[in-house]
Amino acid sequence: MNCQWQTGLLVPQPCDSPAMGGCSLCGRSLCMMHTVSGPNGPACPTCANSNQGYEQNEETELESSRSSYYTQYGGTQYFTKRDRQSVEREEVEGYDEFET
Amino acid sequence: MKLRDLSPEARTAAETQAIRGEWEYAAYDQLLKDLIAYDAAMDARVAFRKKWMIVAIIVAFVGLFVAILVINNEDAGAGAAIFVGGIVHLITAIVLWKKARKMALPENALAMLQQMFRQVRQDLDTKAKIRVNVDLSGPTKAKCGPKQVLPPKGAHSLSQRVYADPWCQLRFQLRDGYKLSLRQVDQLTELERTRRTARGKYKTKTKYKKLCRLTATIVPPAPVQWAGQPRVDPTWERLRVAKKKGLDVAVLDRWFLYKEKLERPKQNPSGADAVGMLYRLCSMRPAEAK
Repeated sequence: MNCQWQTGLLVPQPCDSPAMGGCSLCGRSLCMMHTVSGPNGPACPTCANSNQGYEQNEETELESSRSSYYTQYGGTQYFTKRDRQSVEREEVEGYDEFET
Repeated sequence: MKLRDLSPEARTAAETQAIRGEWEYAAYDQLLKDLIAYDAAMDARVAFRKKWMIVAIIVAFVGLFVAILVINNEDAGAGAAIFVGGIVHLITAIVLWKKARKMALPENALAMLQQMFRQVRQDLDTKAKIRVNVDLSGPTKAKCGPKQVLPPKGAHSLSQRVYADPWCQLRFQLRDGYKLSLRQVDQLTELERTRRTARGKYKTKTKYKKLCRLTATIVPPAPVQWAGQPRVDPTWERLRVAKKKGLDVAVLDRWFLYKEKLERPKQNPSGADAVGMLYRLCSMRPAEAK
């Protein structure tokens, strides 16, 4: 069985490496590269990020930035209230755009 | 870290304040890592020389004070020596401070380039290289347009200078054959507001505005029917599809605005902003490509 971890962000593709074990929390098969060790046994980067005590490596950092990006993408958080206000203020006639 | 401690590629980039050519991801990431470390060392040097300047000013003042106080005594020479020493240190510190400031690189721009590629590195086509044309010199005099005199506003006379800085062009290929490009153009506006006081003095205030335009483009490997439009904010973003060499190319623009009162804005769109735009363009690909 091959590793079930999806690599990449723009073009997600499954990792083709042979699985060496599995995530003790979600059960998916993982290769050595995508296994993170911690107090509850080996875990995938997603489970390692959502549980305390797991070591941080390049994969977990990437997964963390990716998940924060996904939660912000397309939602109201992506454009803050301040962005909106800034534009609305510029539409007012006679508004000095250099006024802060 | 000094210039001679850098790799030959990083040294060239730091000296010319530009990154050009075709790069493999690993070499490009290492280059950015070196440049960020070099820039941190330069920033520390600038801060140290600024402190040195302040100390030299204090020493010069103390020397002057001592020289005036004991001007009729035999020790007046000691005060004068402290004063001269302070002035010499001050001149040296100013020259070195200016030199270090000139050698510093825009850290937010480097961070954006590094963050962006770190997030998409697994998506890159390992056989294709990243084409880079990055100018890190910032808004220099050569990029400044003519001074514009604006209509006066009340008692204030207004003038502005606009710098156009197309500093970033990146092109890379994804592992499914689609090509992405990213371009950033900064437009810095310096607005000078001058007024005459009751005593006849002229007082000038300068305000700074930086408008960054980030343009992301996706080029399909063959003619495709785009799956649909991603979510676009109509106030800050614009999405268009253009025909180029028989292919439908999707282009997403986004504007970022930064304002400062005392100095030029140092902020820059983050790597996540750039990845966000690329991600939304990639979501337009037909279902079989995803």
